[in-house]
Amino acid sequence: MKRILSISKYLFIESLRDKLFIALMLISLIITAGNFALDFYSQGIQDRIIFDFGSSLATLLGAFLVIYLITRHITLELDNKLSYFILTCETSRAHFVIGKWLGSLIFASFNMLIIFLEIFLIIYFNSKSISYLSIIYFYIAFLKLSVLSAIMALFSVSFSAVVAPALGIFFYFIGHFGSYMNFALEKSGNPEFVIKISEFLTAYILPNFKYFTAEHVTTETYEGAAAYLIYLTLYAISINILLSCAAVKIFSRKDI
Amino acid sequence: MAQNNYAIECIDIYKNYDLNLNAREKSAVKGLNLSILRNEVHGFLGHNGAGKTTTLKMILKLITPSAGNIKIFGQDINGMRYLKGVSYISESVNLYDFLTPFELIEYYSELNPDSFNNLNARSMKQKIEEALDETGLLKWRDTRIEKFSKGMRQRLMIAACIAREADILVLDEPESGLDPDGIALLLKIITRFKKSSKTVFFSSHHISEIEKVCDRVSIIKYGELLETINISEYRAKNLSVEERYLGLMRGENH
Repeated sequence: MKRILSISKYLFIESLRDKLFIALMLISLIITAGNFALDFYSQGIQDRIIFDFGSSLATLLGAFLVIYLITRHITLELDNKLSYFILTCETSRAHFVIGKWLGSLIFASFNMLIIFLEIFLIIYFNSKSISYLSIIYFYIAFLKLSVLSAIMALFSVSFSAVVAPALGIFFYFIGHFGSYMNFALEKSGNPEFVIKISEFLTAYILPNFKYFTAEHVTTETYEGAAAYLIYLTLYAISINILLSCAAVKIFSRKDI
Repeated sequence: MAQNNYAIECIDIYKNYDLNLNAREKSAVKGLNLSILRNEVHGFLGHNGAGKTTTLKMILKLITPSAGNIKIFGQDINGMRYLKGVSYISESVNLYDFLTPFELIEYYSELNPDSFNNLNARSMKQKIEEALDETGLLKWRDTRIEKFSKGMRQRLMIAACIAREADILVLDEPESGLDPDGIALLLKIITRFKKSSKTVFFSSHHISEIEKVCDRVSIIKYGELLETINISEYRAKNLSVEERYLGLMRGENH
């Protein structure tokens, strides 16, 4: 466990010193804060815009960071032999993959947290109310990122530095548009079994990012919302375990 | 139990690469048998593409042999999750650019807790600073590695290996990028490793350097071991390793 935490820690330190990420972070903070200038809306609508826009931007930034960081720290390190530094130490292949996965996830979530903190503070100073929803949504977005990072860990040990991020982006979008895809298949007159297979794939096999929204939490009762969060947590944990085990298994057999 | 005399043993190892061209396979290493004794400095010579790096990678568990066995101190590496007590310096000088030399060696120590015997923070700091001092990098201890030249990066990896003091040191053309001072430092470190009863396995193209520090040299051609030379015997007979190497490369057997 110590070795995994070391790999994550130094990935985090390295990323924190990268000017590209600082620039991205600042741009995201400025854009989110820019919504504060929309003073022609009523206060409630302004808060809603800041929350919706800010949280979408934070999630998108987190997704970009996870895809970029995992590709850079797994696939590219394998390509340019930098990985030898870790893999010739007293570390197993599992330490390497899980350490990199965890470090990337923590760094992306840290960036996301700063934007959510900004949203929280803007809403607090704007309407003197505490936005509990931004706290819950940060947690949901974190679960979503963890699923995406596990997908990326699997792709980054299996494919090249071009194919892995491309597949990651593809699955991220498919994961959001699964229901639309099923709808389109149904409308275009496909046989029933094709639609059933597609529904099964998008609901159970492919990671379904459509589940990770605040929509269900806001429309349910407290009990319903809590049950939904528990369900989401279990779903994310199972996908993470499944995909990281697959990534470790594939990587253990790989010639570097 | 009797102690095994060998630090590294390669027993009839093969490595085939699938070229994906009409299902042809290329053998990078063909039935290689190699034994490196404990506490010896063993050189590894061969032309470009002879299979030196492939052999080293198999020893380091970075690639899996297509056939055969590799043992480290008598233990088959197939059954190990990771290698213990083996340091490696590669020809590639890619390092973590946004870290400082001090942080890099600290990171290295955290990844090798058994070799560093879980030292406390103060002893660790002292050990790292001594290693940086010995390689002439102490004044750069807090400068990011991105500003380092190829030679400085190579020195930094040497510093990490000095701090670790592993039982086996594997070097793959470590002199590439080093200036004459750096090469002298490297040879000094290898000699020091030998004096402290460690084993060094050293691949290189520089025969003169190999002759200076090695006890034995193995020569490989197209993945096959041609000969293992005992340097002191050669010296006693006034023979030249370089001439023998060039002769073997030309195809002369005797």
